[in-house]
Amino acid sequence: MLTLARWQLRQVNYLNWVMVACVVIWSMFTSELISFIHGATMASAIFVHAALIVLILGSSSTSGAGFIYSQGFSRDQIWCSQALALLISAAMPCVAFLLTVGTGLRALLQEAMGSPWFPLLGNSELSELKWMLLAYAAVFSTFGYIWIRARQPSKDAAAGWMVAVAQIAFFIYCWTWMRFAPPWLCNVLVGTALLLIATTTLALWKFHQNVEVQA
Amino acid sequence: MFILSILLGIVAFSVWCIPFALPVWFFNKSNARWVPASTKRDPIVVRHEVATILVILLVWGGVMSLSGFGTAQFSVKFLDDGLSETIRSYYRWATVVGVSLALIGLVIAWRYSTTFAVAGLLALGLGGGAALQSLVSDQQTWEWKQQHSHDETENSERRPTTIRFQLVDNIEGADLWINGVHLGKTPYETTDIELFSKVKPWEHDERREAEKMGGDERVVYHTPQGQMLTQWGWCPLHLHGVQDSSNLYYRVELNGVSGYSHVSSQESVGPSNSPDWVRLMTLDTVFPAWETSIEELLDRARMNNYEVDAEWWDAFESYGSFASQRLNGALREEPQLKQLLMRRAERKVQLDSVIDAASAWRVLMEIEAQVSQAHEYHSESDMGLAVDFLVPFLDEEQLVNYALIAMKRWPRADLGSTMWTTTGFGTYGTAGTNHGTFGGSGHGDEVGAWPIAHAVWRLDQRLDAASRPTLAQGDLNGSLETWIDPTTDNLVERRIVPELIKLSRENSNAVRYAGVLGGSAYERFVVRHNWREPATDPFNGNVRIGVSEVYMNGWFHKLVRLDSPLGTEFRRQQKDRLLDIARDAFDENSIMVGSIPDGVEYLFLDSGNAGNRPSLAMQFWPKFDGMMHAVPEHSRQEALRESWTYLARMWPESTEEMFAKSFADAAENSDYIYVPNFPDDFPASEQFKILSGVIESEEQRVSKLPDDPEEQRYDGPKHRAQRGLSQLKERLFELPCIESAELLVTEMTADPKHSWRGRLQGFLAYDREHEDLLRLITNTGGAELQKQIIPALETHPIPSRRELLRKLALHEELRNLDTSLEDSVVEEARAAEARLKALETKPLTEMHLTELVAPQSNDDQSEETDGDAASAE
Repeated sequence: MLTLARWQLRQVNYLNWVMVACVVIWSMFTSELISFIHGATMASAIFVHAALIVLILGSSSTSGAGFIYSQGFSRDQIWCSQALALLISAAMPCVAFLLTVGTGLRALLQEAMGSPWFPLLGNSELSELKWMLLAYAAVFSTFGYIWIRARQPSKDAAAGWMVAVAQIAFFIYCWTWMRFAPPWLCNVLVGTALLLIATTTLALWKFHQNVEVQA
Repeated sequence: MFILSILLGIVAFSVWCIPFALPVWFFNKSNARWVPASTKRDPIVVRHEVATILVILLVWGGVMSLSGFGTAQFSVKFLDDGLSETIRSYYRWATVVGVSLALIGLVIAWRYSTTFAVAGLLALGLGGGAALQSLVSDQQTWEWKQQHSHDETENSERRPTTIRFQLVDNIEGADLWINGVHLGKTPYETTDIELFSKVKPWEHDERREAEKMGGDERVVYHTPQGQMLTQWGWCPLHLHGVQDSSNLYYRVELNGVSGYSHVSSQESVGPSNSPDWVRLMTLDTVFPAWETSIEELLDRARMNNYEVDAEWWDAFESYGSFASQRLNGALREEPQLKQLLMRRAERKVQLDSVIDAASAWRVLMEIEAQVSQAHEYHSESDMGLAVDFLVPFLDEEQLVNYALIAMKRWPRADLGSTMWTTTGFGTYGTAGTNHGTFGGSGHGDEVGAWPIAHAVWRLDQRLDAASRPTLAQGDLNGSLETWIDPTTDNLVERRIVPELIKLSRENSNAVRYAGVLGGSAYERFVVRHNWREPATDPFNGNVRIGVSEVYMNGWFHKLVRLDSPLGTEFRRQQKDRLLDIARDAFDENSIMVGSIPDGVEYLFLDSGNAGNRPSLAMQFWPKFDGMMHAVPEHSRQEALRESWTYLARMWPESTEEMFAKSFADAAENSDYIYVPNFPDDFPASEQFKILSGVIESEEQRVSKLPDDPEEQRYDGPKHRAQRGLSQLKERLFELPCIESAELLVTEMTADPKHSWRGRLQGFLAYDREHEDLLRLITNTGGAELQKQIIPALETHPIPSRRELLRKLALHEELRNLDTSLEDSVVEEARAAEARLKALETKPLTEMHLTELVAPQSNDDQSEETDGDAASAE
């Protein structure tokens, strides 16, 4: 499966490395505080990166997808390799962030540049990692569902698209509320988001076996 | 037309739906090549999609409902209590429609198509939301116009305003008259329309006529504290926001006893534009008998050196708000009464159980719990005083650790309506009003963080006071950061302030609190921000200086106000810029003659501490003095007052000569000049020093002036200068310090016709602060003066004054006695002493609030009021 995953990653590696480079440069040199909730930069970048990756790996409409399906791999193998490739794609920018912020490189550089927040903040911005991972999971599952649903031998093919629109709108709604909502409500919203991510991922796992491939 | 509108509506809706229908078309078309046309929807797919939509609708709808109609505990309530019933009904209907649409959408998704369900919900939800917003906006505009319109046509359709008259503590059964018409008993509720149908506006003459009919003794009431509380028998009533409300006068009687009023406060309670909206008029009427009893209770406290027991409190609190208002008023001139406040706090919070850190901590936790429930806290309240009491007992580490936990628990604790004063901070009152169930709280349990923040603040002050002064010496030509000395940070500055700064990422108010605590972390944080950018607008944290368009960069402003070596150095380096800002602020402020604009306090921060360098205030003085010279003649008095205030704030860097020059300049250029007051907190002995210098200088000036010609005998330059000089001397004698007392007593004893012999009694009648003068007169003043101070000794019977009174009564150790008056001094002192003794032994149970009883006849009434009331004449 690793070989298959590597093959899948080949399609998106250039995107991942561009994202890693962006993360490294941005996290080292931005004098703004890194905050997923209070700033739009990180959320937008993750949205674009994750959406492009899902489009390439998950749409099952590229010639590559048709080729893979014709090579005798089981649908489970293909799906798991896709999931692994998505996971690695999400992990790459996160590891880059971990290295620059977690090791204190950002703090050192920012302090030298005269940022008022350092060394006070140290590596406390590392807590943003959880939001990064959550954002990737939300976009992967939501957009993944669009194409899996469209390839189902089932009526109402646009349903995946509409559910995605509803889910993305809901995630943006949660993201906006997180800025000023009391802690209990934040927990409710994050809990709901996690629930939606989990159920959609389960649905992806369940439905991939019925995908009709015609590349 | 109707059909055309319907058709247009359908077309508009169809166009609106295109963005939602396009994906449906696209995906269904693209899927056509994958899936046979006859394939049905997979039931698992349907269940998943319906469940997803349901979860989203439930959570989204729940949050929206809470923000609209939730309670304060959830802290997400956005709908203002003041919204009108119409707007509330819009929201209610929108909720009903929203829920109905959601149900229909779910049914469609379940039975037919998720795509159409979601597309429909999105189209209708977004369109409906926009329509609702538009409706609400239109309605609010209409309501605003209704409220603010004074057009007669519109007013004729105006809804009547409910007005409720009530007394302090909502005392029931008092008779209320307005313009001679007996309206009823308090609490009295009416509408503006009904009120004006019963009452005709009075002109001034009609009011005077009514007062004469009531007897002149009603006109002015001298309280036991010497205040002329009431200027009018019929007190003017101003109903804000109600037309034709001028020329209204009210009077109150309780059980036939006239009350005396000064002003009336008014507030609006209840949601505006709803039937529950009421204009609440609280009349500040007091009753002499109760006022006298309250003063007697305060005298009991004074006799006992402000130590009171539970029995005293029971009696005092039986007078409710009458007593608390009196106590708050007296605090201004008698700060020793703060001891009473502390006793009251002890009574409320059981501070007597506090003996060590553990018991203090227990009480602090109780306070936190109570405050969280009450949703209200201020550091100057009883709870705040209790916290002040607890801090010295608390374990510092425990408090700091708990504060760090509290910051995590309530990261946004000080958002919303909070208030800061120079001495304290807290939340606005949220306990509601006496009128029904209005009020409520905009705050949740996070108010519990305030007593902890208060305790930390006090701990920081204690630690600062105990530490050595900061003597950091940085690099004069290097970075400003070299002036920050982290080694002088105390526990709070070391552990709390960095966390506050981190917290400020999500709660910008945390920086303000960090600034109150100070320390190296805060200083480094501020100095590293962009303070160099000039400010030209009120945005991005810029601070307005004065009243006009002069702004200061917010970070620059924080640095300028630092009371530390960094602050001093910053002010030194930025001297030119700061002087420019001050100049602009004063220039822009010129319309308010001579007043020192808010925000230029930095000028005075280094007065006396700048080493050999002149402070900013001293450098700015020539500019300020020039501005004061340029004011028109009719504003010279204000200019002199501001000059002296400026110089007093510079003191001791300023000199007596500077005061004298300001005074002489003002006196030379105006017909009449008063000696201005010094700031309240300026020490009297320093005032004595300055005034002595000014008098000396003025005497020299007067001696050099030529005599006035005969026609200018009463308004010539010399006459004016002599008048100013005599005023200066008067002011010198009035100062409550030993130097002034000695001078006055010496002069009075040497001169039997000294002008002060005639005014001494009036001057000291309600005195609280001239202890030295009273002591000197008692010991060496002579019988005539001694006789005059007896009322002052009696009206403020603190132990030291009772001792003086006893001396006079026993006639011991007294010198300089005038034998002809000796007997009367002793007699009056003994009588005063006897009255105080009687008050001292009076059982406190007899001093509780009692029902007022009307006098039997007019004659009786006159006799009764003789002691407390006097005519205006």
